[in-house]
Amino acid sequence: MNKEQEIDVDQISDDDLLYRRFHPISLRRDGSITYAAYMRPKTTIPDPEISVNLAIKTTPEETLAAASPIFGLGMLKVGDIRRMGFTVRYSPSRGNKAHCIIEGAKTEKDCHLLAEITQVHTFPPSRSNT
Amino acid sequence: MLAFANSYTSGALNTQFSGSVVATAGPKTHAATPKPTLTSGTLPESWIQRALDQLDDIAKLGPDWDSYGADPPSSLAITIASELLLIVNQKFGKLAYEESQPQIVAPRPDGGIQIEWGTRPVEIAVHANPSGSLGYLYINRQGDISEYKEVSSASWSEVLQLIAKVVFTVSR
Repeated sequence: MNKEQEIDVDQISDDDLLYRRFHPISLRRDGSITYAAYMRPKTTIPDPEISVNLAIKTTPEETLAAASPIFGLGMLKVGDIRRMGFTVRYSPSRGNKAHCIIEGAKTEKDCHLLAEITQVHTFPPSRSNT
Repeated sequence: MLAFANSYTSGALNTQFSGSVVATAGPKTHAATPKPTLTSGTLPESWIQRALDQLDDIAKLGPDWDSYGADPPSSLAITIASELLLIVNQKFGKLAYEESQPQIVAPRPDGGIQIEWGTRPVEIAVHANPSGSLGYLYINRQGDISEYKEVSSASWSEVLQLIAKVVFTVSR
């Protein structure tokens, strides 16, 4: 286990924030995001390993820059996620030292609960004026 | 509330749908459950035109539109979604204009279309599947116990009844 991996779930505080990119089509008229943003890519199945970035190890700009420029950015609080019964695991990769995984989403309800606690940090460029 | 909802989702629905607003190039197949049809006529000036324009844009999406390998929207799902929007507009639009307006009309990575109505405490997300069937996630948290209902294949009447519940609960 390298030094980065030594940060385990206990060291991620309830007050820590996580970033999650979302496609512009996930944005609802009321400014919230749809639960479909937490489905496994290419499917309509809840994602059991939801990729997020730990805010203290990155920036919103860096997180957005790692994908297509059309994406927006959502933000979740770790404590809110844990209270719902999900876990947050630190899972850095060579290209992303901030990478974490939210584990435990099994149903559309789970995805909906996560979408509800997601605050939009940065609107997608195409929707910034709405 | 349920009776009110029922009154808008049952009854004679045997008039002819005047045709799709959205181009449908794919093979013609039928939805798994019988669906109500619409009377012909000019589309009213309302959210419906915007929603159908959105569907037109969605229909043009190609493979990998989400950059994560999504399938392009199925023409059958587009057709089903446009018919659902037209029916909701026709049945509920005059009585609850704002609330009958969907929160989102969006493609799904499997080629389906998702349409959502309502906000907390009562919401529904309906998905027109690539095969032409309808499914939904219904959420009702008005009482002490939250109700989450996930259905992968539902009838048109069931879906319309739940949309009515959402629209007329939110509009109260």
